[in-house]
Amino acid sequence: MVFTGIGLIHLTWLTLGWSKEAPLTETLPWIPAAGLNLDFWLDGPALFYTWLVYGIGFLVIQYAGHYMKPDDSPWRFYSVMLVFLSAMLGLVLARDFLLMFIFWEVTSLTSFLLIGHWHHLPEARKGARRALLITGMGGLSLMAGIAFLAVVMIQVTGEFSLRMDDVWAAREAISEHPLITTALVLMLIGALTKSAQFPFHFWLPGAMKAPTPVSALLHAATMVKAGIYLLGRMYPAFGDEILWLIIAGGAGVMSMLVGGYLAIVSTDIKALLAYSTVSQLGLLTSYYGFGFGRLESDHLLKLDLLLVASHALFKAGLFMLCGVIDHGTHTRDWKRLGGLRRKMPVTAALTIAGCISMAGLPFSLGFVAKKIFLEASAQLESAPFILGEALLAGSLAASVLTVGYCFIVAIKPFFGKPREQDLYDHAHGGSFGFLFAPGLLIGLCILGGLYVPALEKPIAALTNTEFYAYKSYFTIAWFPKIDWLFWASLIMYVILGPLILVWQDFFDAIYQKSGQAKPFLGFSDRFFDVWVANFAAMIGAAAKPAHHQTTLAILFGVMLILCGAAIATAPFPAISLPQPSLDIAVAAMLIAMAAAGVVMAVIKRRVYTRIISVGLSGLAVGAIFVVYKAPDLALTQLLVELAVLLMFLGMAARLKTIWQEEAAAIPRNKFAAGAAVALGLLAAGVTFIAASSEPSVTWSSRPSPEAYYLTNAFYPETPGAHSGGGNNAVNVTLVDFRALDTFGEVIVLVVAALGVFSVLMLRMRGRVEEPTITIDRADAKLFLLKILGGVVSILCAVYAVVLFLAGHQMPGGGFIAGLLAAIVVLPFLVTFRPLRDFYPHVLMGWGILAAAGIGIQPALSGEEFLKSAFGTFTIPIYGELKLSTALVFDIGVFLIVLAVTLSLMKLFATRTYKDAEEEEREESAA
Amino acid sequence: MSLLLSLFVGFLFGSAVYLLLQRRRFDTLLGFAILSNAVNLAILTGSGWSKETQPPILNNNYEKVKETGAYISTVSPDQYADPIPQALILTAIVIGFALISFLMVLAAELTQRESEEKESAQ
Repeated sequence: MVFTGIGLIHLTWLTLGWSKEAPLTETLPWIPAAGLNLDFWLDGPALFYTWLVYGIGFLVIQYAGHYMKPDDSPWRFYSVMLVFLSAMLGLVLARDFLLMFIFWEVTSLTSFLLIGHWHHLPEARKGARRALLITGMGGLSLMAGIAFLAVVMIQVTGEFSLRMDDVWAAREAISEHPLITTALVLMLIGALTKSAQFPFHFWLPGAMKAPTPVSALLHAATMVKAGIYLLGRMYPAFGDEILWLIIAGGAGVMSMLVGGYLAIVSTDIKALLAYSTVSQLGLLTSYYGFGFGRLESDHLLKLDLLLVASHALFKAGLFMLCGVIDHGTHTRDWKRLGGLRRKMPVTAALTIAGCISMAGLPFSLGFVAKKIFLEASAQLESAPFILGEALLAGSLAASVLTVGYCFIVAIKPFFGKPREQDLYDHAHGGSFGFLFAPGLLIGLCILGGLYVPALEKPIAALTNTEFYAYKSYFTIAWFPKIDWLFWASLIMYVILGPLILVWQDFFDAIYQKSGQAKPFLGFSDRFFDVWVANFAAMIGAAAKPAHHQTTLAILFGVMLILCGAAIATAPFPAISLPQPSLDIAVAAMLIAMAAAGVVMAVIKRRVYTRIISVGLSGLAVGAIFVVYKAPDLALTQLLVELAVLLMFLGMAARLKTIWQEEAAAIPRNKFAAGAAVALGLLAAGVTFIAASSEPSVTWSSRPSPEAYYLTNAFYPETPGAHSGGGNNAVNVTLVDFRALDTFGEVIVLVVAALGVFSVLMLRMRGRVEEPTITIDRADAKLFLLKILGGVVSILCAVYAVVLFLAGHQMPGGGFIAGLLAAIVVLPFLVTFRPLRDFYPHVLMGWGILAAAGIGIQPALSGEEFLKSAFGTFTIPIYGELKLSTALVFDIGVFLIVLAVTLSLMKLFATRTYKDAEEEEREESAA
Repeated sequence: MSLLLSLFVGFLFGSAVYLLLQRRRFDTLLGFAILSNAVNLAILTGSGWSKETQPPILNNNYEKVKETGAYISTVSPDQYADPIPQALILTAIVIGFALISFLMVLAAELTQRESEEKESAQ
């Protein structure tokens, strides 16, 4: 709420200083080489939508404070909500179609998360999946459309630009291009899916499983409007295409009809509102469609903003009221409610006011909107054939349906006799805070309707930019001209609307009779539950053979063919026997040791023998790293091997019998030996060629990266340039020069640890917690070992600190110190009671925060992300100490590695320990 | 040295492939552990080795040039082992560790579940 509040204040300030002649623009280079920039602007429509996003976002978050209960994970909810709001803001501020697409996708993803917020409900998961599938598909289509548009733009104008104003300016030229219709259709599909337009309308009702604030914000006021917004941005470029009228107009009118019909037969008020949203968005879509062929003339199309505003206000308000009813009565089924006006008078009054606006009755913003719309549809003279007439008839019929469902929402729950006395007795209205947001929204809607003429100026100001020319085609006034449209409306409101209310049962009966083949919905169920599921199963079956060995064999085969061909054609370097030297002798000895370990691991049968053999070979490899002049690697390798060894042993304690049985039961794969020889030769060949070849790239103009890293590791080579301030070039490379890579890599670690954790959580679910164990009894025998272990642990801990601090100058650093510390801390974590329930995951978060936080600081002052700075301090006794901000980054790395390693090893150690205890207990019981 | 190491990498790689292609879960795990060593060594071998080079620890081998105020390394960069492959491998080792832990958990989980199913079937 604070965020959006600040946003609102900032926005007010921006609005006051806003002028239509010079919209604010902001360009940040993104990938300048590819002509991609982060282009933002704040022109009229963008300003309008920004108000919409911030204003309704603010109210919805205020409302959510009353709606969400403390056990609804509100933190998760609000964070995703804010991500959504930011993405939506980016979407409307983007000046470039491609940039807009990126934010578009983010809104789809956050919508998925928000719909599925109550992920324990299968219906919510299903709704979220559907929404993601449909809007994701639409997003792909939009992307393809934008790609086609880019091709057209390059061919027509000769340069790559997807900036909206550039595209609009090139309108005449690009309309001749053969590919433009493809681009148009694909982009339109994107817009239609986002706005839940026919035939993609069915995801929206499923999305209503979301918490009501989400429905109000995403699926009524903002996200579904993104499709409409896109139409508005496309219109100046495509408005003269006949396909524009057919697709946008046709889909819009169909959505109005289908949505209206489904709304009438829904008994869940929220579902009813969802279908009414489909219908109302259809109105907006078709309104743009009706703009066909009027680009040149001044016309009423520019009033779209008024339509969007009125719908956003009353629909968000109605959704919130629906949430109030739900809270007050614990049902949203209007067939079970009635007479509530006595119990919740304010809610009733607000709902009725909202419905007046939704139905388009006079004295409301909805009335003005409906009037603008009907006039637009009546003036489709340029449409070919009878298309114009058909669309007009459809719009009128849909308006009747609209009036019908508005009457249902306004009257059924609040008037008449209570249908279920029990529900009625327990019903209660909402508090002031609960009703504040919907009240404000609907109040604005009515106020706007009463003072329509006052709206003319701001709308004119917002839309009177070059491409949004506005002329007072007709005066906006709340009193209608008395013409045929007036009479048509009158018949609609006074006769047909109430008739639908009375005959709702009749519609319902038809709907119920149609059974499984529910019109316009049965298809979607079949589509998702049968086709999509089958398709997924088919792909899964094709991609997943019975054993992973099959997959691996294919991979190895491809590798053998491709690399083998490359090696066969490459000139093989001359093989010269090495001069005998001490290094060679040491290396040969270590290799022999490692090879022996590997051979043992391959041929032996006992699980422990094989584990220790692999560990031995790993340690020998670590020693080879020393010969190869890589002390940091050697340290890391030794510690990792140790950790892996511990984990392997921990696991084997539990599973060794099963694995020995497995080895006895499954014969060795004979084919594997041949593959092993072939691939081994291949790997040896590739490595040897790589080691013997000179780099094919010559660094004539600039030094090679490694030379740069080495000469600038401590001091800058040129005065004032960047340097790392460390003597250990490997560590400086990791935490400074290539810190971004390191950052990505530690994130991979975190993901892996969380993956392990979630697999184990799956196992824990629904199980009785294993009893906590006492360890003193078992440890009494091991007193001496314990003392010794303690001493060694303390020494190791000290050494870990030294390794960490020295890391920038000498071998060591965050990775190594983290591994060592984890191995040291592990026994305490497992055996020390107060720490046993401590999950190291929280350390990961701190680590990421430290690493990213220190990285963002230079980025904020205009430097590169993660660029370091360092200073020299003199400390008594210790002497001169160089401290670099990279050290903080290294602390982040240290914390992450420590936490990841700990949480991984703890999982194995803890469970083994408990299992051994259990065995003991079972034995003593026997 | 390169020849020796290349042959060793080939040996490690072949052994890893042999274990990975077995239809036994435990063998797969061991194979993966060996494979990550093989690949790390291959990259290091590819970076070359020479008797004269030192580990990339600079030991303050710098000199300040009076005229420009710049610092020049007193030892040519050629005298140090290449730090880039080392930095790459260092993170690769740790990531390999995370990966094998993930594999271990998956394998242990599957094995346990299968044996429980077998027990409940009996």
